[in-house]
Amino acid sequence: MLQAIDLTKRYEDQQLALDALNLEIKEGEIFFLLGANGAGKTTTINLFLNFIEPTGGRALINGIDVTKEPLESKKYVSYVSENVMLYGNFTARQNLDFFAKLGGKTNLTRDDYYMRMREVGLQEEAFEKKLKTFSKGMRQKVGLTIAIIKDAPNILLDEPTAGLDPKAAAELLQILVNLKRQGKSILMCTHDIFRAKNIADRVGIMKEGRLVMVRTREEFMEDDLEKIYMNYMQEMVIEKV
Amino acid sequence: MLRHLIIKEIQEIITNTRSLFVLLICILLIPLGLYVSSKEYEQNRAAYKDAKQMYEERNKDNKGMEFVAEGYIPPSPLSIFSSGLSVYLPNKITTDSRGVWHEENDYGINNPVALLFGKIDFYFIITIILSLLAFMVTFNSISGEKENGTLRLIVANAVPRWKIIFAKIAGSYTVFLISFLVGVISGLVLLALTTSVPILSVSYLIPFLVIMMISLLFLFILFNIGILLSIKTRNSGASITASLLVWVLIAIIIPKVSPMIAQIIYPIKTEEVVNKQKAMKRDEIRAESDRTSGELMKSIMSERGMNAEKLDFFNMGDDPNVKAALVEYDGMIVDVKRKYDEMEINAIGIIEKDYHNQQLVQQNISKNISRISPIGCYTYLISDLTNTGLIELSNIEYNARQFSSFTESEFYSKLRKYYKEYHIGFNVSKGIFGKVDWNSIHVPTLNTYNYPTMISSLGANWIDLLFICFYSIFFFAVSVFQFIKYDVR
Ligand SMILES: Nc1ncnc2c1ncn2[C@@H]1O[C@H](COP(=O)(O)OP(=O)(O)OP(=O)(O)O)[C@@H](O)[C@H]1O
Ligand SMILES: [Mg+2]
Repeated sequence: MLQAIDLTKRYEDQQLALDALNLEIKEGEIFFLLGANGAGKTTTINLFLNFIEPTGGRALINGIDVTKEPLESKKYVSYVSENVMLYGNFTARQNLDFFAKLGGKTNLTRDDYYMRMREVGLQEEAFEKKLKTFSKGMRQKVGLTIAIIKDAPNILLDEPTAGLDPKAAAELLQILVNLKRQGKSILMCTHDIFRAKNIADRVGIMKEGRLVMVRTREEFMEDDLEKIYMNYMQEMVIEKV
Repeated sequence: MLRHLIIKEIQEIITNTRSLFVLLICILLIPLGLYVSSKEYEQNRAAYKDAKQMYEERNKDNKGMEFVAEGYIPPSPLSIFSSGLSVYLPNKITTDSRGVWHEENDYGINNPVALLFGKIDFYFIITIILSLLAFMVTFNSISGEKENGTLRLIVANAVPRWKIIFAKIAGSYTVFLISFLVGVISGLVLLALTTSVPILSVSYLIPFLVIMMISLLFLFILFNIGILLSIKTRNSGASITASLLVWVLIAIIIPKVSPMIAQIIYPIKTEEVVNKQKAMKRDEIRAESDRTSGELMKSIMSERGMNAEKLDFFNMGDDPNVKAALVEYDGMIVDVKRKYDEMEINAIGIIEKDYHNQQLVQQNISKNISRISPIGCYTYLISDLTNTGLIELSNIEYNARQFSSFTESEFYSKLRKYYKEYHIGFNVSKGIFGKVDWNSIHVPTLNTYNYPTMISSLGANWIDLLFICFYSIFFFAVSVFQFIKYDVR
């Protein structure tokens, strides 16, 4: 379970990137966070991972305050970052092996890694190839495999579909649905409204650091999610004019 | 956990072509440097032996007061690790009957081109080449992982930050160390096989182990500085720029500029000016000495009823009176001359000592400034441990003084005794050489030149040793501390 309680981040340059975010993502729930560039999505994820200190409020992972017990809290979260390069001189399997061990999975075999890579749709011949020869999408898949292998109850994804071809993106979302079925709490930041519509249990729209709208699946299925999103963005444009 | 991090670090480094480059440089340059230095040492050693032997043979029967004794200084065996000042250090001490000693250097230059570019010895390889390679290996150790996004992925796990940075330092340093050790060991093997330097003897190995320990600490400092720079810069491009700048600063600017700053803070006369001062003083005393001996002659003559000024020195004939006066003069003038010689030596000694003290003050100022750079501290330690450093300058003086007094007591004073006897009590029945046992007087040679012991060299440089240890701990601690609050995004 992921919880944000009045979570606030003001950067050193006084930029208010996140303004009192309140959010709870339950087990077996996929939450999509939409929002324009600079809305505060990555900031939210960074706060959950304790990469940055909040200036107010709390972020909890499985009820553990991430600023008070950062190490303990990180046991319960997997992270898929946007555009990760990984270790170019290592093979896909070596990359997986290293991060698996960091995540506490020390007794996985070569076949385990192969199986997981097959699951995310990586081609067999890529398993033992150096990562520097990989395309962006292939790297992204390895990044996702790393998160899956850790098998943590919470998963944070920051624009994981960026750079993936439509088929790969669809496969990734299918994997997320599977993970959700296993009872994981999933927070995914994205610009991909169409995908959100397909698999999200809830969708939030973020604007200038504030969560301006949250809709459940039932609610946004009635309306056109894209229209809602555009309306919220429009307001901003109108305000500014 | 720490183990996995270190293993990954080592794997990552050895799969990088940079480490192959480091290994190649170590394997090629370290043995080459040691080999060339050893060959040069062998040459100098042979030249030293020849010169000494020739001197002894040539001067076997040269037993007069005008004889100038020469002491040849053997090249320092440890100079194969660091040539230091050895090109400029004297290889010969001369001392005369007045007790005046000089240091001379007549090595000559084998290959001026080598001098122009500076030598590649073990010291140079470490302070210039390996220090640069240390930066080359570490510059993107943190900023590179940040760019790859892997740092974020690592930190998203339950891994304490200190373990990450420990593994970084330990892993990269270990790989570097192995390349370095491979180079050193192949160098030692090469020396043992191809040169006469007894590299595997205790007299070499123990100082070498100490030099190695200090070198490893020194490289450790550079590693930590490199990692610190990698932490402090936003991306690897900035890291490499910063590393190069810092390297230029600590390897070139600080060591080379510190004597200049010292000269500005505490200016002293040049050696040339001091030499002029000495010459003036010498002339002054000699003029005085000439005047006194003239007076002496006058008074001896007038005692015997002669007027020295009216005497025709070229047509004195066989006047027994004059002859007797001259013998008396000869007998007395020795002490007079001796008195003035002593005066001259003392006066010049004072000028020299004064100048030497000023030099020392300036030297210490430069030393202290250059200690800002670990290369400064390392240089003082290594050059003194190999007896090619600043201590050697005063050590030569110490040995020269020893040699001078040895020569005086074993050679000149014996001769003087006989000469005195000859002048004062010339005994026809015994003959001039009657009492002289020439065989008891040997041409003085410098048979034992004392180099300072390793312990005393370390003791004299305790401050540099302390600094090296301090820098190691300091930069390590700062790197760890800075990484703990490092922004991984
Ligand atoms: N280190 C920082 N210092 C100051 N301001 C920052 C910093 N990082 C982010 N910001 C600001 O915080 C706000 C939110 O940024 P954030 O990266 O969370 O946006 P985002 O929603 O992830 O955008 P995108 O869709 O482009 O990834 C932006 O206005 C950004 O300028
Ligand atoms: Mg973002």
